[in-house]
Order: sequence, then C-alpha cells, then structure tokens
Amino acid sequence: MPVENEELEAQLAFVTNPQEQQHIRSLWDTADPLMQQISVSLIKGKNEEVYQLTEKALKDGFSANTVLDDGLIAGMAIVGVKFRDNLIFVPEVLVAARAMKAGMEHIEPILSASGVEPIGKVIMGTVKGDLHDIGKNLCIMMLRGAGFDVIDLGVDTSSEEFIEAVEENDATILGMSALLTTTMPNMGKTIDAFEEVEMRDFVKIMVGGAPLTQEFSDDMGADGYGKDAISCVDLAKSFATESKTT
Amino acid sequence: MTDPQENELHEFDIPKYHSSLKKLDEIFRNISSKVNEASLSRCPYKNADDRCTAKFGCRNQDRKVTKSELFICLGSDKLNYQSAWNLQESI
Repeated sequence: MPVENEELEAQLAFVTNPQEQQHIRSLWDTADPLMQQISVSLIKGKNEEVYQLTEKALKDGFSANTVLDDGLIAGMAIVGVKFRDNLIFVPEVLVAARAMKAGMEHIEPILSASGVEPIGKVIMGTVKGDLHDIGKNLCIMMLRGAGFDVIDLGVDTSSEEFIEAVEENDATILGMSALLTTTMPNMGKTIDAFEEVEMRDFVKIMVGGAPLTQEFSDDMGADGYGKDAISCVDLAKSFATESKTT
Repeated sequence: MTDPQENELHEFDIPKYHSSLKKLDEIFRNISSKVNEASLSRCPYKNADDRCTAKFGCRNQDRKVTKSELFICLGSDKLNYQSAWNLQESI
C-alpha cells in the first residue's frame, strides 16, 4: 500500500531492493502524516522545515521517541540507502545530517529533562591553515548520532581557539583534522600549546585526516588516531568510558 | 526550542531512545564505510548535480555560474582530484 505522503512515496521509489522497500514502507505504514513530512524534509536537507515540523510535532503531543524514530531516523534510513546506491553523494548526506541536527535541537532539552546526558563533550575543528571540512563533518555527524555533544569550531582553527573552546565548554575530548602534509604539524603545535597552558592532562586528543598515520599521531603526542569516521567515534567512546571509570 | 515542561504528554522512553541511537549508529556506520570506498573515485565535495560544495579553490571549478549557484565541477574523477585543490584560496 502506498504511503500517504506523495513525496515520500516518490523517495521510496529509489529503494530498489523489494525486501528493503517493504521494510522501510512498514516504518511509515502506521506513522502520522506529520512524521512522514519530517522524513521528507530531512531527506531533502531542508533544515528549517525539519526544525519547525519537529517543534510542531512535539507541541501537538507526539513523544520525542516517535518524532525521533518515525520522523528523523526513518528519513535518515532513506538517505543511507540513496547514498549506498550512488543516487546522492557526501554533500547531500551532510545536508541531511544538518537537518537532523535542527530537529534534534527540540529533542535534546527533553533528553536532558529525562536525565539522559550526552556521553561526552567533544570539541572538533580543522587545524590552522586547512580549509577541508568533509572528514571532520562526517565525524561530527557520527559523534552526534552516537550521543555526544559536539562543538564544531569549523576550519582554519588556531591553537588558541581550541584551548579556549575546551576551557569554555569544559570538554574532555578534542578532535583535530588536517588533510595537508603542510598543515599536519599544526596538530603537534596545538598539543604543545595545551601542555604550555597545563591543560593537557584534562583533555583526550584525537587526530585524523588523509595524510596521517598512527606513527605520526604517536610522535606528536596525541591520545588516539582515527583513520576514518567510524574509528573516530569508537575512539571518542573509549575516551568517554575511560574518563567515567577514573 | 521546545520547553520540556510545556508539554506533559512527553513521556520519554529511555530504553527506546537507546535502541533508536543504535539504529542511527548503524545507518551512519554504513554511510561512513561507503564514504571510504566512494572517496577513491569521486571528489567528496562534488554533489549529485556535479556542483562543487568546497569552500576553497580548485582547478576543476567552472566559475561561469550566477552568484547564488555553486561552481560546476569539471573533474573527470579519473584524475587525482586532490592535486587540483587550491588551498590558499578561501571562497
């Protein structure tokens, strides 16, 4: 049976595997039209729409669980399928992730009021002189999806900015990204800067980026090296667990 | 932002939330694995319309577009796209 929302039905047409389509369709069979619209807006990366629709849904009395599952995550499931099948690419995925974050802004206060705390606070940024942001943004998407509170400092971030952000936000994890061999040394300089202000012991530092290796990471004194977004989130989780047990 | 006090109908199911996070994590892990594979053959800044989303200069950018449009990517994807990036130039 087609889902009520025509735009969503059109999106489902991109799911060519019949079993997969049936599974995704079943998620929406019982979903309210408003949840379906949240999914459509998320798939299209319309962050303002997702923000407004999520707010409306919660005001209308839908539970945060319902909005999260039937609206936001159901939409992201389609994004994942479209990306896997080369119908969309990394920029579209990141735009959808931004829309998801917009919706989560309304869910987070409810999480907090229910006693669900973020599993850790992470500061993320691309180092000074480097304007690449895709790897960092993918890591941020995954970290937020795993339940971390992430503060994104963007690109071209100085040591002082990293230090200030860690201090201001009382963060225990810092992630630095670099894609150039010329900017990679700025990671080491930032780690040294943390030593100089005697803050190194209070923050776990993870590094990542295409030219990096475990050896380089060890040499500059980082606590961990993430070769991709999956290892970044796994590292952050291990740091968070470690800080809770010490 | 929504004030959690405003709506008493919000009964939040924490175990269900943790199961939602697991689902989301699985979706993102699949995406991340695919990124690793796709980045070997396509510039990650190039969107589905073959437009460049990078905030820095690149020799593959065709800039003959209207002000509000993204540059067109002329990269063939057979080349090493990284060598075309001009990282001194911020857009």
